Amino acid sequence: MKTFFSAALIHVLYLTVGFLFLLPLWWALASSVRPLNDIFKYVSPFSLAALIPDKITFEAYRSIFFDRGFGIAVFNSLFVALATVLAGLGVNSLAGFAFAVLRFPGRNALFGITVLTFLVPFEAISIPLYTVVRSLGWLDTYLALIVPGVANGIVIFLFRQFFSQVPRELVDAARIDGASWLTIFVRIYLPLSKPVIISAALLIFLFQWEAFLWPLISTRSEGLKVIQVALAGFEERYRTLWNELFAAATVAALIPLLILLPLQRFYVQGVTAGGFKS
Amino acid sequence: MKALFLPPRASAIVVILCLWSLFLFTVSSHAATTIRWLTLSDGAWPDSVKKVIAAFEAQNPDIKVELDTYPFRDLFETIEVRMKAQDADVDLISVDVPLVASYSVRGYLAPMDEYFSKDDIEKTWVKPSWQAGTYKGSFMAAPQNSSSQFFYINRKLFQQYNVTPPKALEPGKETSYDEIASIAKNDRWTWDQVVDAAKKLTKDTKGDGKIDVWGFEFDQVSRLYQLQCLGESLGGPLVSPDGLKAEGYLNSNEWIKAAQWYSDLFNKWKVSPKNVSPAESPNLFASGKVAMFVGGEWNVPRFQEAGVDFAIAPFPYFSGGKPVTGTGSWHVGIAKASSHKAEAAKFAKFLTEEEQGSKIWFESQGQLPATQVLLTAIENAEKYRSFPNDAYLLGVYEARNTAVFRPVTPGYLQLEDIFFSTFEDIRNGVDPKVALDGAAGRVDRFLAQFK
Amino acid sequence: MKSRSEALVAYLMLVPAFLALAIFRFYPIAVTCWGSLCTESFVVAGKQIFVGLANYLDLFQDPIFWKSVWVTIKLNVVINPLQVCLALLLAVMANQRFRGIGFYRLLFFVPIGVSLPIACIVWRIMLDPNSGLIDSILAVAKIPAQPFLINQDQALWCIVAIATWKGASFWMIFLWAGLQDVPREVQEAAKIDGASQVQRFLRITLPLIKRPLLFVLVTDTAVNFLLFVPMFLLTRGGPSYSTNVLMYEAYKTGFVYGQMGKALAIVMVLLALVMVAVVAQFRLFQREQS
Repeated sequence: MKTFFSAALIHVLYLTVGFLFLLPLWWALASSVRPLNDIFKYVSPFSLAALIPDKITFEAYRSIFFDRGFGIAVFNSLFVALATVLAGLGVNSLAGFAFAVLRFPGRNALFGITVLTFLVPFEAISIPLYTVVRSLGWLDTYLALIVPGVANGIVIFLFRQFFSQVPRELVDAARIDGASWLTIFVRIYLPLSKPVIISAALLIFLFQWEAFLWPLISTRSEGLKVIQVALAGFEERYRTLWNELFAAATVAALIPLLILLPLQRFYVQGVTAGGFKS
Repeated sequence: MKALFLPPRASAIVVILCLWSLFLFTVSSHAATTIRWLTLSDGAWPDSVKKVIAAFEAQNPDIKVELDTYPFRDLFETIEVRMKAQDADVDLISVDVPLVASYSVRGYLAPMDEYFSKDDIEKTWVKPSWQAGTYKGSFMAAPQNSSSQFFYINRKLFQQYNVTPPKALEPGKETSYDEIASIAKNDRWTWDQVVDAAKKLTKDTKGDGKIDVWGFEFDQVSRLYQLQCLGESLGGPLVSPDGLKAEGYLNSNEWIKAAQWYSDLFNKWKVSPKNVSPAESPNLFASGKVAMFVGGEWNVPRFQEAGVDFAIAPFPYFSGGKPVTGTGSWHVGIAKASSHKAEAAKFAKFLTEEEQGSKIWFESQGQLPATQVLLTAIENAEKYRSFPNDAYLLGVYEARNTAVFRPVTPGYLQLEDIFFSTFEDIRNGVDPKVALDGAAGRVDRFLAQFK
Repeated sequence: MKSRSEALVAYLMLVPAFLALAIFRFYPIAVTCWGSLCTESFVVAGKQIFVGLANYLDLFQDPIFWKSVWVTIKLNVVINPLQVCLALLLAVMANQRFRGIGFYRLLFFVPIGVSLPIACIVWRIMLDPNSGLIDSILAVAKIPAQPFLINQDQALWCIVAIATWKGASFWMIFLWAGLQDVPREVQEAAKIDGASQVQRFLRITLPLIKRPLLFVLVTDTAVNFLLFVPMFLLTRGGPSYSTNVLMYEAYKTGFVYGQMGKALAIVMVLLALVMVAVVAQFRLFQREQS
């Protein structure tokens, strides 16, 4: 009996937390399939009708993809995010490895500087960054969207934290065997790194996915619009197209989730062979 | 070898294509100048603009106009970034009229005096419009259109609760400019009358302690553009004539009185809802939840589409004071770093001053024009005699008689920002005098740098 | 020789990252620092005039600036420990094994997909004092309707709640990944020893996830000091400047008022604050390590 109650309690707890997390997305989703004027009708006073639409229409979705070219924005964001992830994983993991495993003069100082770079908010450096990218001739190209996001202090920090947990014995043994540092990196560290690679990829992906100000000022062609900029386009001066905004927001939310969910299993390692602390 | 000899039909097509490309090449190599215009992407704006551009390019085959469009809020930021970086790629920018001074002071705009003569300027536009485009004697930005403010009535609610509505422009009635002018002069409601009606029209229809129908609402709540008319109606300007001082103006007795009235709407009489943003507030009127709404003329098509049974009355004023309406909209200016100023000016002229361009713009976009010619045309045209087009006639009257422009000051952005947060505070219950005194001090700290 | 080649390899490995950082971070940051010592020319657009510390002096005399400093510190002292603790709690919850945990984990992940602006919009509607959901629920418990975002005493904490909604979920992932590395044998052994669940957690598990924990704490701190979107979308720094954090004040000063030099000075002050917090956190963890 006791276990039944405590199990039920646990489920209630989890459900409550889960519900709290789900609520805003649910409301956005529900709003995206109802006619524009209905969205706010049921909010005040609040009734269950606000969460469960009675009239369903996919007009908003049709409109955003066919009238507003939202599909292009989705493609652009995906392309830019994935390209940045690929390049970023390579560049940042190498740096993280160097900081964690290798010994060299200036290691701590350089690491400190690296970490400090991500403390500077983007808004502060937007104008000089704009001039740099302009002089490289990259304005209004995919390069402008991808390259500045590749090297990322947080991701280097993440890799460094993770790599420094790998027992030193593995490294020493390999060195005695005559392995080069690169081999050690590729053969020993990378295979152990699935969770951190996923985390790093997630960080980089979301960073690019949620980017707004930089794509706004560094590109102007319709063909290069990214998702968050497209989302902002639904807020016009005199009114907001709520249903379309929510439809776009739902699409923008579901995509990272659909990517993340299958990757969950890489996190759940269960009993790692040998474990780390032996 | 065999592949070179195509069947006759195919080779004919190839030949035609080659000739066509040759033709295009010769035509386009006629060195066309391209000018870029940084402007809005909202709603129908780009489509209307493209119509004007098509007409312009037809007349000027060696100039091409390209658009860089952004939504309203992002446009301002983009202008800041690009102008500061001295982007030579931008030739024209859309200037929200109150920012003319700010952009001029910071060197974003190139003076247009050599392209527009003083005579031209005064003849083309109504005085408040072209004055607003001038800074320190130089013509910096040409008026593209203007705006006006109306008093919208939900007829159904007035009937339902048996309240007498003001005299207004109503559906199903034909009218004339003179008739409307008479209503505007003689039957304009005072704010007291508005509050009286609002009290009778604020209802808790479901009996659950929450108000479901509100008596009154502003369109752009707490924004300077909307509320300027309150203090001005009592005779109080917002800043000194040179635009460099707020102390004694923003917190003058007139403004404290206006602010107190504003506060009472939300806190004492409770006829207007708190926590509704400017973006959401038209939605409330459009869904029939508000009896009286004051706002821009651009709401007319919107309310029609939403199916509200509404009438349009002249904008209210404080009894003992004078009627004042907000106005002003978008201007267009030449970017200082542009390398094609003459061509840019040519287009600007076509769009704003010349009859052909400005007419296309007006007919497509429908916003109240700034040129005298168009205003007179509206006054006399048949199509503006019936609802809701007769609203334009009211707009013309207000533009000529009651329109007051926003204060010309290089510190406009800060003034507007502080005004908004101050009036939001007042709306939420902060004492008006305290709030305004603090605001005036803050604005002056900022304006000090311009002295 | 060996250490020299090791150093060489290290530098080579760092080159791609540092090259990119140099061009796209260090250089703009340097320009920014310089910019904070300048002010705009009124004659030539974009031209800078060196004014030394004038921007800073101007700031230090501005009561709004000091209010922003206070609001920023107040916000961060609360939100950082809160988010990290909640993230840890959620990670532990996500790490349990029972039927249906996969489904619950899914729900826990949802906020990651929802962008902060959308989250803000939805939460704002729910916190509406006229007729929002939260007030309706409070009414059931006979609690009077709260003003929430339009009240200067409550607004900041509402923002904390909204940011935590997203933050706790996001950082949970990293801590959960960290928990995966804690071998089950160690936990089992402690169970056999008779230690209670809480004791087990504090004595065994917690020390083993120190590194991911430090990462989360430092990064979350940096993110929260720079937090800006909710203030921008929900309160515009109000009511009565009660949510006017330094980052928002900097944004307003630079992008709305056009005083870039002064805005950059505010950013420099903000950076100094973050650095102090981050260094303190590093030290704290290092001490506990030894």
